[in-house]
Amino acid sequence: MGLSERLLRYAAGRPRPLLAGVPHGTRVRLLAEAELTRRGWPAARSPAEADLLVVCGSPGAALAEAVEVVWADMPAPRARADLPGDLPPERVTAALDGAARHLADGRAQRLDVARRTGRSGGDHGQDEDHGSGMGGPGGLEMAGRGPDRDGLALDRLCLPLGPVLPDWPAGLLVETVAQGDVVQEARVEVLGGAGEERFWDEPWLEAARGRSVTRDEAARRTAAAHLDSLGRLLAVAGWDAEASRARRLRDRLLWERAGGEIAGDVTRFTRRVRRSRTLRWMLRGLGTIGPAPGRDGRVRGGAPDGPGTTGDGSAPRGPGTAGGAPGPAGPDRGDVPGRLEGWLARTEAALRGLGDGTRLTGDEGPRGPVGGRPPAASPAAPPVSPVLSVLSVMPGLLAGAELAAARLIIASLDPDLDQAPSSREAARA
Amino acid sequence: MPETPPMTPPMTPPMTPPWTPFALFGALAVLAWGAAALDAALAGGRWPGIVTGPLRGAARELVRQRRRTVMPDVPLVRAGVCALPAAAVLAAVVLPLGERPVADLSVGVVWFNAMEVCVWWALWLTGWGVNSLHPLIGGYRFVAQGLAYELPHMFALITAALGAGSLRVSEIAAAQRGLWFAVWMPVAFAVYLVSAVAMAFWGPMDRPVGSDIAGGVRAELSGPDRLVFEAGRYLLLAVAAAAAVPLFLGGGVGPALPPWLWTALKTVAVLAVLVWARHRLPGVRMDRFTRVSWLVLIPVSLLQLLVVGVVVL
Amino acid sequence: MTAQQVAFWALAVVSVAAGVAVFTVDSMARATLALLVSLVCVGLILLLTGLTYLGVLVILMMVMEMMVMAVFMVMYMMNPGGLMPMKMVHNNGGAMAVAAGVFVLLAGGAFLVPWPVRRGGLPADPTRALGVAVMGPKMLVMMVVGVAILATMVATVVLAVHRGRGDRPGDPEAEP
Repeated sequence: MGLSERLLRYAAGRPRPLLAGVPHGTRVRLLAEAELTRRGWPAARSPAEADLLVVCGSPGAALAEAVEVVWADMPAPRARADLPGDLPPERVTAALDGAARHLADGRAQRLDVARRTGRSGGDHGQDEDHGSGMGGPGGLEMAGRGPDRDGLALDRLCLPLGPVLPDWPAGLLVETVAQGDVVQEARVEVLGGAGEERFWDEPWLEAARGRSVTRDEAARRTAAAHLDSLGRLLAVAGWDAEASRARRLRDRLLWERAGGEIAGDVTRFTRRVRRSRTLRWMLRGLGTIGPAPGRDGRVRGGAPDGPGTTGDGSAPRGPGTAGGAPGPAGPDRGDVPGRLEGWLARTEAALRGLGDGTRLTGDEGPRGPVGGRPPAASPAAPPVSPVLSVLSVMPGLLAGAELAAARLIIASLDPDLDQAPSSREAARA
Repeated sequence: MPETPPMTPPMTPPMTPPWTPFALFGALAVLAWGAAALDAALAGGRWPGIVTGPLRGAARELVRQRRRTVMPDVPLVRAGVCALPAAAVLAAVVLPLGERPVADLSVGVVWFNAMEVCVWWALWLTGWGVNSLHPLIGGYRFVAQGLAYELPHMFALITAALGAGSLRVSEIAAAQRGLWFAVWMPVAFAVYLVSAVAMAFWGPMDRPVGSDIAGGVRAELSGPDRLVFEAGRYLLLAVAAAAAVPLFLGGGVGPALPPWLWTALKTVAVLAVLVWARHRLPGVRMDRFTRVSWLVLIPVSLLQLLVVGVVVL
Repeated sequence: MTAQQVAFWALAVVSVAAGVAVFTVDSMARATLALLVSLVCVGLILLLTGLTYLGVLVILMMVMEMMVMAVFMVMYMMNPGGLMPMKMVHNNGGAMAVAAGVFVLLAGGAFLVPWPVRRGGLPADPTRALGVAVMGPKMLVMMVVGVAILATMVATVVLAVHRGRGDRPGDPEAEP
């Protein structure tokens, strides 16, 4: 066994996985993330850093194409674990083990390299279909020019965000036109996945179908959903320690069936996040959803002509917060810290329902009404899915934001694309 | 024009044992590894993964292919990647390993500063050269960060030099036999720590390599390039921590133990604080920090400079 | 030849070669880097002559200034990414004449100036000697002026960015 073979095996003991989220693959993603944390495999931030691609769910055609580009961008040695959305939990571990074995297998890796070089290495430039550019050297798209908000004419270029990025909503593609790192325009697309599962809304949908679901189950799912969003936002805000803490709490709620003792840990977490003056300083004023709320104090998601109300009189989701009262559909009013505080408050509120064995009624999922049944108040009006109103406000919020702020705004909206109809395009600005 | 008495010519470095460069490099490597291990431990890693993690990572990059982007400027990328560890080590040659540094330059503080601004170029070249958007944005983020932290940083360094009346690092350390500079110029010390975090693009100031831009400058690096870059990053962090010891924490001065051991202990302590800060604080973006840096840090460090100047006079 | 002479000639050759490279490379990033290499070599030559402070200071300032210059050059050149090879020389004839003229002037100056002869030895601290020689008894004034210039710079920038990119509606950081 040669030296490089030894190094290969040694390194394969701790791969760096890159997770590619797919709509309707949330459950598998959560299982995979929990397993990766347990193994201590630190997540990669880019394809070049990763040697293990974990596809969580069954991507549709457009998303599968994007995943292939990422796979082609990964340097050898590399391995891939495809976890279909309906994979049973015990098979997740096996799939990751198999991928790690493949990573340590020198022969297989050499074959992989030979196969790729045989294909002349032309793996690049597959996603060159966005316009507004002139042909440049190497088939590269060159920047065009456009007016800046200060009245200058500056270079502008297309910067697609997603769909495979760390700490990014599964299946979201935001095509931006940027000048420097300032987003001028944004267009939101949803790249769908196969399947029907809506993990975060599952208890309410089950209950609406007449199955018996306890309030404890719903409380866990709500708290875990908000902790998942919090983990994402904190990671994008550059606070890895608290982000991984949020994710560990989420995993304990979901998979370890942790009981009442977790409430204390969550309280410590929320207190630390709330107390961080630096975090508030960095987030405040970003992504403010304007002073044009609907009649119940919320944004009607850029759809001012939408139905007047979707309120179904169910219990409020949590105490009123700086970001305005959380309501049935659409993102919280206010700025990024407002929405952060909303999640914190709702997580704490949900935890008070832990251990409640009574039967779940109601339609109020973590992100608003799950649409399991038509709202009682106005059965004629079709319910607006929360995710659609989030996606429709997004482009307006992103215009004029720096890239770092744009990432924070998207993370603070954290749309759950499991809820989205698998349309190629959802909103345009 | 005052008479300048003829004396020994400059540029004759005091004799240092020939093994000191190796000791310096070994110490920096151990510190860098320790910083990576402590970082992993604070992130919730378990024994022995936290110690073997950096080694496994290094092994991984040694057997990995380089990532090929479209039309990169390869010489610039290589220059940038190699400049990072080179700048860190060159900055460290003026830091005393106990009593004597590898090269006891009469203008050691300025040398340290000059080598450390080379990191601007290292990151910008790497981000620019790979011809990819996220690294490019990361490179420019670091230039902006440099403009934000550099002036307070320089004033903090100059304050220490003024307190000792010398630009020679070993003399600055020796001037603190009575009282550490960290004690009687606390503002300069605090400003130094903040700017050290920024210059090593570490922890809260790691936005140039932040995860929100897919790893920033290093997003497209793999194989040996990434290994050298990451090694350089941790070396730079170790050097930034080590420089605080002779400048503000009395150098090798301390009871009972030999100077080299005191230097090592103090360096480890500062390094641990910097690593801990990464876990304690969220990321700091320059579009907000620059305002504070220019409107608060520069005036307070100038005031500190004035106070020290008056005391020294 | 002593080691010092070898180092001088090596640095001189690299410096001139890098200076030539500024005009022959085809991207702004490379051109600015070449200029930096050239100027750092000049700084190292100053180190060779025993002017430690000046030499290191030249390196420090040039590294920072060339970085800022690179950003501006890239910004102004309508060649994003430096991908399109571009010519670094324009108006060749006129430029040649000016360059030759300046070279003759400077070289002539170097040969014709009556260089002073050193009296005494090197001072113990050339940095201090240089500072005293340049500023003399006006040291305090110079220090105050330096701080005043810095304050002016900061104030100018703060006023200038008042309506810059940081000034977005709803951004409390941008409020004056």
